[in-house]
Parts: sequence; C-alpha cells; structure tokens
Amino acid sequence: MSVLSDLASGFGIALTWQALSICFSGVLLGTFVGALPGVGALAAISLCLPLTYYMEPVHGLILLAGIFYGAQYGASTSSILLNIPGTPSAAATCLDGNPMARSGRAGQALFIVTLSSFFGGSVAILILVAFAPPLAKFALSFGAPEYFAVMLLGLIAASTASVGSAVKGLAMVVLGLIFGVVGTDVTSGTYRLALGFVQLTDGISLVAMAMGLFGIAEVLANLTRPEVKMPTGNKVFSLRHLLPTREEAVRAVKPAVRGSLIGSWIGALPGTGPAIAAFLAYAIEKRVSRTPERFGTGAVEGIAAPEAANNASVQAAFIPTLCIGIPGDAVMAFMLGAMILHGIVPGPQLIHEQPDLFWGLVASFWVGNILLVVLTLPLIGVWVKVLAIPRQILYPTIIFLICVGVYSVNSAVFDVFIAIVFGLLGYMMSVLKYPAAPVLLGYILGPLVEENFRRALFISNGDFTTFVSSPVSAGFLLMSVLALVVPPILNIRRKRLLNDAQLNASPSEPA
Amino acid sequence: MRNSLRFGRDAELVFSYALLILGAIVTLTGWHYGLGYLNDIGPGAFPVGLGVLLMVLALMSLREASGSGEAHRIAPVLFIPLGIIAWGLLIDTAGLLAATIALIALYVFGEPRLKPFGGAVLALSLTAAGYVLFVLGLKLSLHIFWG
Repeated sequence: MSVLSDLASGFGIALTWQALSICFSGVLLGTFVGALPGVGALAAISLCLPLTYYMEPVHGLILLAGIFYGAQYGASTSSILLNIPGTPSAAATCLDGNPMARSGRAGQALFIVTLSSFFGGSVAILILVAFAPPLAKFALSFGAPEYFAVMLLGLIAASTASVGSAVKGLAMVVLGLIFGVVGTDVTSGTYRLALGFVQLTDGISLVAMAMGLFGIAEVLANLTRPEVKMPTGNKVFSLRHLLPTREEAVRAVKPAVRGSLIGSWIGALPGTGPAIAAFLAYAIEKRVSRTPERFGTGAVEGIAAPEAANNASVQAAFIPTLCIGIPGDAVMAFMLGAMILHGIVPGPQLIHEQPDLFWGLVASFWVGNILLVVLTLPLIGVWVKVLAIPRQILYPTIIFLICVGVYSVNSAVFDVFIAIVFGLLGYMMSVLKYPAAPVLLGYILGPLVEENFRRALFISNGDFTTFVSSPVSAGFLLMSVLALVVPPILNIRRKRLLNDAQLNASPSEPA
Repeated sequence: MRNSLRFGRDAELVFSYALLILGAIVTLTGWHYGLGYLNDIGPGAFPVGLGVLLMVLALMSLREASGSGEAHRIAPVLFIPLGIIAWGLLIDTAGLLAATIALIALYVFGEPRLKPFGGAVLALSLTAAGYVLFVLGLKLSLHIFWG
C-alpha cells in the first residue's frame, strides 16, 4: 500500500501545471531531436542543463528525462517514414517499419510503434515502481567496497559492451576518470591536474564538457563529413488509415510483451542501452517466428518488439541510477551529474530522504509517455517536416546556444574555452571511432570510485581482501572480470566464424 | 590549400601516441602528489594508477590503429572553434550582439552554405531570441551592447 500512496503523491507533483508544462516541453524537445538525425539526445540534454538551474530539482530532472525518452518516439517516426534512424536505437525499426510505409501502411506502422512504445515504457515503469523500494533497501547495506565494485562493473561494462573496439572504450573510460581527478582532492586539499588554472580547482565544468563532447563535436562531425542527401519531408505517406487491422493488432501483442520484458531487463543492466535492447528484441522475435522470412519485408512483429524494447530500456535505465546511484550509461551518468549539481545526493537513501523527488519523477514518466502518445500521432506531419529544417540555420543556432548555455552557468568565459577543447577532442574521437559516452561516464563516476576505493582501504587498514570478503562485492568484481574478458573472446569467435564462412564460400565461386 | 583531410591510420597512431604521452604526464604528475600508504591512500595514487592504465591501453590501441580513411572538410574545424573563441573574448566586453555577429561571421567562413546576408539575419535573430530567453526570461546578466 505504501508504494501506491507514494506513487499517488508522486502524481500529485507530476500533475501540477508547472511539472506538466515542463514535462510537455521536455518530451516535445526530445521528439524534435529524436526525429533529427545527427543531433543526439545527449546534446539536447546538455543544452538544457543550464536551464534547470532556474527550476526546482524535480522539475529539472523531469525536463531532462523527458528529452531522453521523448527522443526514442521521435526517432521511430523518421525511421518508418524516411528510413533514417534519428537515434541508433531506432535502426532496428527501419528494417520492417520502412517497408511497411513503402507498401502504403505508414499510418498503421506509426500507430503500432507508438502504442508498443507506450506499452514498453509502462511495463518498465511498473517494474521500476515494484523493484525500486526493495532494491534501494538492499543497497542501503552497501559499504565502500560494494560501491567501488558496482561502479567498476558499470565502467567496464559501458566500455566493453558498446559497439566497436573494447580497448578504445576502456581507454576513453580511463580518460574520463582522469578528467574526473582534475580539481581539489577532497581528502588532502591538494590541487590535482589543474595545470595552474584557478578555474580548474573546482574541477572541469560538467556542462562545458558535455556540450563540447556531444554538442560542438556533433556539429563539427556533421559539417565536415561528405554530405549525405537528406530526404525532405515532401514525401509523406498516406496517414488516412491509422488503425491497424485486427490481425495486425493481434500479431503485435506478443512481440510487444516480449520486447517490453527484454528491454526492462537490458535497460537495468550497466553498459547496455536502448540500441542493444532493440536489436536483441528484433533478433529474438525473428527466431521465435514461424515465418521468419517475412522479417525485413514489413512484419508487424519487427516493429512492435524493438520499439517496446527500446522504450522499456530507457525507463528501466533509471532503476540503478535512482535506486543505487549508479548510472548504467552516459545519459544516466549525466542525470546523476545533474542531481549532484542540484545538491541532491544520489543513492539508495534518495527514495527515503527525497520521496517527493523520486516519486514525482517516476510519475512524470507515465505522464510523459501519455503526452507522447498524444503528441506523436496527430503531429506526424510536423515531425517529418523537422527533417527539412535547413542545416545552415540549425547548426549555428546550436553553437550559439552552447556558447550562452556554457557561459551562463558561472558567467565564465573560461568554461566556453573548455567546451571548445572538448569539442575538438570529441570531434577527433568521432572520426577515429573512439566512443565519447564512456568519457562522460568516467568523469562523473571517477570521484566516487576514488572516494570509495580509498575509504574501503582506510576502513580495512589497507587490506585488499576487503573487496572480496563480502559476497555482493565479490560478485560484482567477478562480473567486472567477465565483462572485461567475454566480449573480446566473443569478438574473436565471431571473426573466426566469419573467416570460416568466407573460406567455405570461396571455392564455390566461379573463377 | 587543401580543403579536406583524410583520417587514415597515421591519424589514429598520432591520437594513440597523444594518449600515451598524456598517460605518462598524469603518472609523473601524480607521483609528485604522493602515493601515501595502503591504509591512507595519498592524492597521487589514483592519478598514477590511471596514468599507467592509459599508457597500457594507448599501447594496445596502437596495434589496432586502422583509420576510417574518410575525407573531412577542414574549414568548419578551423572556423567554428575560432568563432566560439571570438564569442568568448567579446561577450564580457562588447556584449551579446557583437559576440554573436563575430561567431556567425566566422561560421560563414567555415560553412559557405550559410551566405553573408543569411548569416547577418541569423545573428540578429539569435541575439534577439537570446535576449528574450536568457536576459528577460532567465534574468541572466548579459548585456547586449558595449558596457
């Protein structure tokens, strides 16, 4: 009963007119950036972080979270109508969504995707509501070794589980941890890696770093790459028949349920994210289907499952962030950073010490998802037109907003220059295929990792076995080792299989 | 002057070497802060550990270096950061309007699809929107003109 009454009080907060209007703005902006390829949700979230300083913390978090899950809805619209995934997680939706649109069933595809997304999000929110209190209670027993171990797992999993080279991912996590060291050491008061700049004694500004890595870098990467002709919004498919047939609706139900469960599970794991959830749900759906040959040609199951999964995943990602204070990916790390900037101490005590914030935010997820259903379907024409916004107006506007946004935090020009440094670094990383997200994750978790590592050794009088003496800590460390070792082994196996397949295929080829 | 640059294996090697050097600098700097003892870890221990780890990973990434080989235009990478620097140098002294004009003017050099007239209109519009949103709306202490 207590959870229900807490949730009811959360709705009391989420349904105030300020929270509603902020949630609406967040999901609207999220859908906008989601529909726009080349502008990620993280760039939009970092652009809006300075705005949250003028809001109540709960409203600020509602805005940032709304952008994140709103982007997933926007991305599916451009995937289906134009075969352009607005975010990586929407790429799986392209596979069957666009063939459906091309065969004149765009309306039905968008209807199914929107409802599947809502269903997936709702399932994950229910799981969050059910598991948050016991998980937070369990995490209250965590000491410094357990926190160190779980953060280590988060860092390693985020760098090795992502697409691309594990070595590059790990190098970027370490680089982020080094950026997190910059500033005054809280134990000894020593200025570390501040390079003689007084402005760096408080550390590197989160806003400057995020806007550089995800804002400036994205604009530079988009402007310098060979131009890809974007389809404009002129070619709009008929939306007259939005309602799917009874047969299509029945076929979408089970995949949406499976996708929601897969997404909720994947989202709560560290280092995963909505793209992995969407592709896994798609692959499983294809495997369990009696007619897998229909996949890729406009199968309803091929859009219901990944969309339910990616939305469930983004909502479930809040479970470890809100209940334990450990972010699973860069967006969640950013949310954690935003909480810290607002003076909120993230962790298992949050649910007890700030119940209004916790339950208000959770309730706003539902409100936001309902708003998204209302927003997405009637405004499909508008979201398609978003793709036609001239880039020569969009990008300088983003750069201007970055300048003012970074400057506004401390009225400091120095922070603007820091953003340029990170912008150029992020650009180089982008062209050389180094992932940027682990840098942010390392930067935010760095001080917490160090603090818990030092505290654990201090309490145990320098005894390293403290990290394996508790089953929880030992379990997390074991999982960290597995996260480090398993992906490279799988990669080698995959390469071998690919080579074998090529060798087997070559003799049959005509000379 | 070449207007595009190809990021091949060499670029990736340079980046890996830069990480290697950074790792070495962090290690040496951390060493000076003091490593402390096992039961009282000093401020230098964590940076030293991270520096060594970065060097190891940089060496491993040297082996992986392949490069994308994609051609990239140079102008935006030069002029857009210059525009942001100009904005930063002018905002406290010359005000939002002059800073934004400088930002967009340099942007136009980097991205020729934005024409000078369009750039001028955009700079004025952004300043006006920035004034309404940040100064009137959020009460940010930004002045529009010199002062």
